[in-house]
Amino acid sequence: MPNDLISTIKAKLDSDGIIVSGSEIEAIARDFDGRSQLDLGLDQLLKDSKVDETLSFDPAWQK
Amino acid sequence: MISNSIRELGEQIQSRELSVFEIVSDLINDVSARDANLGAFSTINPELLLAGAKASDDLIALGNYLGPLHGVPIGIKDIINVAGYPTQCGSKLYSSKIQQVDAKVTNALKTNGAIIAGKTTSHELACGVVSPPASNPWNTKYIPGGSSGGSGVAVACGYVRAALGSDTGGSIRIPASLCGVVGLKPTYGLISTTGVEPLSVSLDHIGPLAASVEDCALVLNALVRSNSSNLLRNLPDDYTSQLNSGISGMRIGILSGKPFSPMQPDVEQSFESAISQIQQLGAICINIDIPELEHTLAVEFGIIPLEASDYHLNSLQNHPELISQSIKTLLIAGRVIPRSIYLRASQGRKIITGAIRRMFEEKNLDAVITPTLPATAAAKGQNDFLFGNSVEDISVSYVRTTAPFNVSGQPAISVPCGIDSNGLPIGLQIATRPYDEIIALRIANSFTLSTKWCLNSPRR
Repeated sequence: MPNDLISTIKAKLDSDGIIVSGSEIEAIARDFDGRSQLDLGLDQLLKDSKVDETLSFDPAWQK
Repeated sequence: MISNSIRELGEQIQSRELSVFEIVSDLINDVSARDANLGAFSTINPELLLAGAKASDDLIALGNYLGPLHGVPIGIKDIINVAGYPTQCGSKLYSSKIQQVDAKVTNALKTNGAIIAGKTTSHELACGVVSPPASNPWNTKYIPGGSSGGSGVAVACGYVRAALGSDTGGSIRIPASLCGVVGLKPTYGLISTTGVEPLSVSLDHIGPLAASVEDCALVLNALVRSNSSNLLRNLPDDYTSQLNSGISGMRIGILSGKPFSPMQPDVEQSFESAISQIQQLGAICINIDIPELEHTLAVEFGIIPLEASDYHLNSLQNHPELISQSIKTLLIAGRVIPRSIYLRASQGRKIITGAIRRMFEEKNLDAVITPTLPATAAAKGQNDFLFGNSVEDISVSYVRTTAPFNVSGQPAISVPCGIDSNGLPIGLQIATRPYDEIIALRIANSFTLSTKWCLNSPRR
């Protein structure tokens, strides 16, 4: 894992008062990396499609 | 073991052919004999159960029959508050402090006469698909699914006819499918979550797992009536009213493509048979593909960590040693990933919901169907599935086919539709328009009555 990613994560966790061990931070960084890949999918979705701003979390669409 | 349906039990209880005390005593003995092996319940309280049974019988003796749930034992997932029981969420973070107040859904069941059978095993913080120490009753070497695993086991092995679960990415439908029972995730917001420990508030749903579609509908009746917001909605008075109306002429979309493929060959074969059966019942099946759904997990996993870590921040700061490594990693992800991802995921959610809605409108669909899961139960300790040459984490496999309807908030029900070559159940998922639970139940009932998969029971 790149050191700058680990440093960034560690700084964020320190500021939140969350203590993690050195081995945990590696696992967190790997997880972060995996999520970045997923986020590329989100990029694709947002690029290719139009957001329907009329929709809310209450899915009130019926026949 | 309870083999009669809720309606049959109700008739026996009302006519005093069977006492609630007898039913509950049998349940306590059954759990005591078998649950060390199955792990369906995290807590039962025999004293409370027997007192409730006696009170229930007394009401009948006085002529106060409360309806079809009167005297029927129902399990409650251990993230939902029940007075007299601790809420432990499968986590060391939670103490054994006894709750004094029922969740709204618990109260709804009690008001309708149900007996709370006990707290069913949840995967830690309702976030996972394994639900230890619960085992799959079809073969205890396999997982029951999760996170409402205990509820799936309790219904499948016949302790109870119904149990409540919660579903944020599939946690009702996954154990329903893997344990061979019915599981309904209702429309987002239809059922109250007051008194329930959240995982991800904008994706959490509460609903029933049950031994039959009718049992499921009877429990839903009680849950829906308890939510005062539903008074403003034009909802059915009785979710059993259309169960036997058939599905002739209904238009049902067959969802294919990603994220529903790839799937195991046995699952594919059972799904094909289910489609044929639905056509034989007179429905019109239309092949559809919604490309936006491929990105469901990017949306789901962009939302859950941030909402979950907001709720559990205090625990992360002060008691990290009480959280398992995988859950801690997820919660920490919620702190370190940029907030912009949450906002983008929320935009993605609107895109996916809009795409499904457009498909329903353009094709004039009553429902869409998919395999509930692309794979049957994983063996305990198994981390991945192999689909052809591609390896996939079991959590991802299980969630990718169920999460689209958490993201969209539509109702989705899983019913048994086959058995794989290892003797493990396969599920069919039916999703309808928001608040159209009555249509989902109708299709599910027509299908299950015509195929009899619901009558299959695990070896005991």
